[in-house]
Amino acid sequence: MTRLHPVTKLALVFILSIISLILPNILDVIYLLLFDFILIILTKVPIFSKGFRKVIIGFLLANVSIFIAWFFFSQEEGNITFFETTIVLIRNKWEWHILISDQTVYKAASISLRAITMFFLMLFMFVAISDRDLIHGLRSVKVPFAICLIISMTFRGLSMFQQEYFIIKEAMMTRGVEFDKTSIPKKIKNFISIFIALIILMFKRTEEMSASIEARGIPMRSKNRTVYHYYPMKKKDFFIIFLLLAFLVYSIYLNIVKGSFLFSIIGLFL
Amino acid sequence: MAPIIKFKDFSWKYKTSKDLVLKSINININQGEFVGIMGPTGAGKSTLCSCINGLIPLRTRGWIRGSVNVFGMNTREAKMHELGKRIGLIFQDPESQFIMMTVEDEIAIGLETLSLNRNEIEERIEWSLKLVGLKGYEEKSPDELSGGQKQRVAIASIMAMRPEILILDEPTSDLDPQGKREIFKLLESIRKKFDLTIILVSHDTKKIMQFCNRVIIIDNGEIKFDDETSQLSSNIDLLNEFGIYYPISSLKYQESSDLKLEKGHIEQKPLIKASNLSYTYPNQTQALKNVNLEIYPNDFIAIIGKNGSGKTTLIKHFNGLLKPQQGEVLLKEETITQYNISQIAQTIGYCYQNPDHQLFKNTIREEIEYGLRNLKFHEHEIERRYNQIIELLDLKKFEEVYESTFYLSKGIRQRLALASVLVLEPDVLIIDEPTTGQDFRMIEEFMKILKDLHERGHTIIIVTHDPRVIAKYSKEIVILDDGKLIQKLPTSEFLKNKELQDIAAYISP
Repeated sequence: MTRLHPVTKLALVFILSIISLILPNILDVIYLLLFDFILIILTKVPIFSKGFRKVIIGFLLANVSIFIAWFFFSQEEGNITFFETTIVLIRNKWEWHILISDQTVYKAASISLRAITMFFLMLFMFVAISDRDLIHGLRSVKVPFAICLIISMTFRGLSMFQQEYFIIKEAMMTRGVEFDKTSIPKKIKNFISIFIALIILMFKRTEEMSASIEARGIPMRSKNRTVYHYYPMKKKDFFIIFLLLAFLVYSIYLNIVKGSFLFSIIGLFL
Repeated sequence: MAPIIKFKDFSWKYKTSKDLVLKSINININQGEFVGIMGPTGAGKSTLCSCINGLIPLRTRGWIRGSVNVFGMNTREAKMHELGKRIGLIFQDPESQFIMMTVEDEIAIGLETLSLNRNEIEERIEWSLKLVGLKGYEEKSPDELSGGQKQRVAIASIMAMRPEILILDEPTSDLDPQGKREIFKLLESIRKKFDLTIILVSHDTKKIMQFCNRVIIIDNGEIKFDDETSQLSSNIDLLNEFGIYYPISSLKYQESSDLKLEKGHIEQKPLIKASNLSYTYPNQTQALKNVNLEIYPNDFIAIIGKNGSGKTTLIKHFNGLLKPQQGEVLLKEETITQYNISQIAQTIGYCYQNPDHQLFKNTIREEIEYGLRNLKFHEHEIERRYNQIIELLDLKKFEEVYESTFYLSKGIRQRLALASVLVLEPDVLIIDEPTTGQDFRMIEEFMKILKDLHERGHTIIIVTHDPRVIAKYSKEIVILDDGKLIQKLPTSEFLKNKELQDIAAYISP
């Protein structure tokens, strides 16, 4: 897996994420999720490490709320109705009710599974593609230099942002600001103060970084620029991307023939 | 020989500034010169550097008169990337110069612009890293490097492009004296080797006198002195006029100090006591090794040591930001873990090196009152303390002139950061590197404030590399090396002990 081109890995994550949304059958989504786990095992994503455990638990809690929201409020009629009641009725015209049917259960489970599938694909992406490989990969497939530079500076900015965040938080603590043992509104207020300081610093940093690029004579467009780290795509990369695209087309076909979850979401808003 | 840099009656004003930042500048610089540029903060030194490599006027809006010619090209008509290839500019803060994710990529990105082939890029990366003593650091990310190492990478990334002119804007402000000396030696060797023209902005008079062959002093946008370095010694009055220090020995600094440890700490109980303190970071770096230290009321201590010797880790234990992994820290005879954050904040004040990390309110008043309001002080008490502090630190005039704290200069922002901490009336004040990037006049002003606070009974702990501050202001020295406390001793004794000075990387001012 680590020998694949970074762009192939990126395509894998994005195409499979789209497929997870458009597959009409919940069983297919479960298969995709199983494939996700194989990827996670192959790339040795440390899902049991302290940092990952926190992220996974946080996501699963959020996912439970997604399930509950769909379970109670999607109001999808099905073959079997388990429960139905009116919550609000105004002048016999406007009504809000809860309907729990076999379809609401199916839809709630379906969207939760799709979210889990995409989440684990993202975990795979974070471990399998380093920021550096991604930039070299993109440059090797001739993505414009300016875009690659912006991505690189974004990664640098995030890393600086994280460091500065902890320094500012500590600086506030030395002035008696409590972050742990305090009320939620106070906590929000304190975090807003950190972000104000961070934004000011980030403006300064961005200005300095762009001055540094200019001062080193690095133009955004140059026909003669060479690429030091050139990662050519190999046959297996093209083969995998071809398979992914074929799978995507097949999923779209299934979606059109059988109708799917994605269209029902769109239908809700129409 | 025709000069390679020629300023002819050049004046410049930024679009946002009220007055001219550079006024009728006339300078000729020849190839191979090592020129030091000095002057007080805000004099126009960095602006002058930006004019040489074309950032001004090509990328900055403003008003211009006269001309700057570099390699015979008028910078108004030249192309930025053409100038950038031949003139290397290294800024003060190396953190902001890193745009790529590894050392190797950082150097390569400039070389790719020169359209070099892969083999040549590889050779130049190897050569430049060897030059700055960082061979083997190719795969390191900027987060894994110290301030000094980042500065070296910045130099390597520019030197790899083989510029004809190298401009350095205070490149050693984050380094310990030994690190500074190494960088200056490196600059001198590459200048000789490549017949490079170097223009260096620095507040370090001693280093400029040692390495540069010409000095330009700027004040208020005007050239006040432009001569050979050897002429500085006969113009000491001029240096004093512009707040530039003339190097004298540490002992002379000490003689000018009235802060001397005359008697020991007899019958006094320590305010802070660290016993068998050890600390290891998650990346397994052991930052403190069995440190034992006592700090007494009304001490004025300088904690010194090389970069990475454990100074910051030690002081973070004093204000509860780090919890002891082994050993303990007592504050007023009680273990520090028993204090909550607000109690510690009212006992120990901590000022960061960069005031931008500490200030986040829009006005001076809001910033000073923030800590008090957070700790729910009575309105009457807030007003009393606020008035007291702005008078003590002379901030009233800035409150009237500047609507927002964001427009204040770094020196005033640092003073405001001190006020925001001091308003909580802590017994102990810890100041991390109070002099970085400031001119001598500002350092003196800031240190006088600290001296005044010390006379009012505060205990002052400063972490510093600045030999002038150490010699003139501290009563005692705590030396750390590789996480171990080597010795705590009176400053006068330290200044006579060459062996300890070497351990602490101390070099006389």
